[in-house]
Amino acid sequence: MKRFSIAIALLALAGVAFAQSPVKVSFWYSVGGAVKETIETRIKEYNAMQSKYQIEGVFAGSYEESVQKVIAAVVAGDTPVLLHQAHVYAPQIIDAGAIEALDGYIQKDKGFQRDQFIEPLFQANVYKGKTYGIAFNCSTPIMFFNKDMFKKAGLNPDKFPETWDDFYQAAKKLAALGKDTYALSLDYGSGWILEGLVWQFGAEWMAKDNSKVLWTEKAHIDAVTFFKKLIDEKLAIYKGGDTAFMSGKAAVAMNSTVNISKWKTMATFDMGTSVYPYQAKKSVPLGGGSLYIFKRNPQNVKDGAWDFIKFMTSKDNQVAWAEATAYFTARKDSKDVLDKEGLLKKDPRYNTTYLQLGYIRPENETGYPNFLQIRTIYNEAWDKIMLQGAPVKQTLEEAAKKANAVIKENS
Amino acid sequence: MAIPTSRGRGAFIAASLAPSLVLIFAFSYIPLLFSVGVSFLRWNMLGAPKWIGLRNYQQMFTNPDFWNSVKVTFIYALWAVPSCIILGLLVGMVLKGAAIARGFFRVAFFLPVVISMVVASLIWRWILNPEQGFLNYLIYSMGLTTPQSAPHWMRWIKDPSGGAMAAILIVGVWKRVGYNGVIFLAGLLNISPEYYEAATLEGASPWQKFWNITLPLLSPVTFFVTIIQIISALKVSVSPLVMTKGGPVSSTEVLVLNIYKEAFENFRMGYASAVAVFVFLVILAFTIVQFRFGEKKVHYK
Repeated sequence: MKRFSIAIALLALAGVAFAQSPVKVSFWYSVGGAVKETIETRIKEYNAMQSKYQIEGVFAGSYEESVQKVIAAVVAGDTPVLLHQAHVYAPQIIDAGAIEALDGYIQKDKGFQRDQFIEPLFQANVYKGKTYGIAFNCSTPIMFFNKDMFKKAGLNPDKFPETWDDFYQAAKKLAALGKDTYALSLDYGSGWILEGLVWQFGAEWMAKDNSKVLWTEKAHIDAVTFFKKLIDEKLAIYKGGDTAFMSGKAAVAMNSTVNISKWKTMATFDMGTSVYPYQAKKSVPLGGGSLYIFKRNPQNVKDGAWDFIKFMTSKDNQVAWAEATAYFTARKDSKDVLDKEGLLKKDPRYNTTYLQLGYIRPENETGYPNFLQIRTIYNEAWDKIMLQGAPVKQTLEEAAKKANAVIKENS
Repeated sequence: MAIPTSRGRGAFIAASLAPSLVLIFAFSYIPLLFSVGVSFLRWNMLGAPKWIGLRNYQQMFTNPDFWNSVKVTFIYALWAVPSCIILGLLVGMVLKGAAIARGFFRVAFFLPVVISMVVASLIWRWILNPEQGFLNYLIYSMGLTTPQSAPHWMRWIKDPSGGAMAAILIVGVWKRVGYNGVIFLAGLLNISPEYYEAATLEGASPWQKFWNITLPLLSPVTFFVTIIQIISALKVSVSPLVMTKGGPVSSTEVLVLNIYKEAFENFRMGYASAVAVFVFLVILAFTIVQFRFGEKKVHYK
């Protein structure tokens, strides 16, 4: 009996020790620079405010680099617990059966406040009828422009051209400001910018059933031809990088809203922002990342990951997040705070991305698993057309053929 | 250490070789055989692999991307091999002849060899940046040309029609010349000075001495350097990966980079393995040439 009670006591002690050492939750994220520091600060706060879980953040490189690491990890059976990844690349990982569907967590946990999420941002994470990710750092590309150059060219610096045709007219004046001066710096980031541009001309990118790409339809060819015209007439510079805009060589740049925070401190001119021009219809791509939980983990660890997701997407943290990074806040109540007393009031440039909310489309809205591969083929076609002057129709046809072969191979 | 008996000696040799054999098998031969096996599969690492026989090879030979990479690698080798050899020989001769600060020159030329290729590529990516790079800044400030009238290749890493290729060639040659230089130096120091003394007495010009003594007696070294250089040119990958990611418009997508992209970006392990096997066979062919002819045919002693 004595021995038995000692055993009980020891077990109890072990239990206490076990309860006191926090459950470790590894977390791979993919934002660098100043945004990375914001994430690290949040992790520290979270680890300090509770003792049950310990979040261990690791920077996994860009979204594209992280996809490769994740797939290697899935193959090796050595995945982290929590993943921050662009929703555009998620289907491939989800199809591998590696990601936990979160609908159960959302229903069970009243503390999560599903209704507070901005609907299209939440919906971007629904794949094949299930919610796999929680919207975290969404963004759209916006137009950045040099108001000083607009003034010099005799254009209204408070009114950005509304349609691409208007833009073309304005572009002629802007490019006439000097030698080696351009209206537009045409850079495409991961490729989402290009997708948005063709949508604005009423073209489509991918068939709804993911059976083929639609790069050879007339509207699509017209869209690309329009931008080739800008390049050919030296109204736009292709792949000039941030420097083309920052140095005043190009009057307008297209990039994610996230760049506001960095660029406003770098710009030596009066920098304005605007919603996208349109042509056939208003449309912008929705990019950015979400938080995912890997299936292959014990439930208590996954619960920790879920708790951290709730923390990161809480009202206050989403306010702080949007203020620090210029990303969308994922929540309506946070948006209200930002509207009334916060950033959006102090600097309306941060509000630009919200003005586009009515017509956003997720980058990979049809949820095609091999999206990165297809998109690389598409980007290369643009490079050939813009850098080497390759014929638009023929180049897009060749690229579409190649992409459709990939689709066929994987179906 | 006492030399063991003949039987013990065999065991001793085996024990000494074991660590490196284990490593070579684990990290070279087993992956190599694995790769050959995978080249007959369709496999994206996530799903179940499927046996498709020679279809990957068939696809490879009809894929324009593959032929583009063959072309790009060939162009790279065509420029890199002669430049590395000629400049390497030049460096070797300078190192031999340097009357002062010989040690300094040896270190200076050999330094790039020791630097990691990733670091070297990062440095050169910055130097060769068309907008902010040091080289273009230098060219412009010397008044040789202006940003408006500069030729397209001066956009270096961003120019698909030669500039980007020139950029990775510059790094490749810069990195390699010192190594070749030192090998040539060893070869040059091996040539007995008596030949030159005799030639001087006969009244030979420096050019005649170079052409009739130095070059023929260096030929084993030159042959070795050439083969090693060809093999290294076929394997080039880090500089384009870091500097251009194979672009713009695949103009620097060499074969190894093509393998990397297919395997780890497109997750086509089978196809990528087929290309890898192709590269392996080409390099194997050059290695056989070196083993066969290296010692026998190119010898003048």
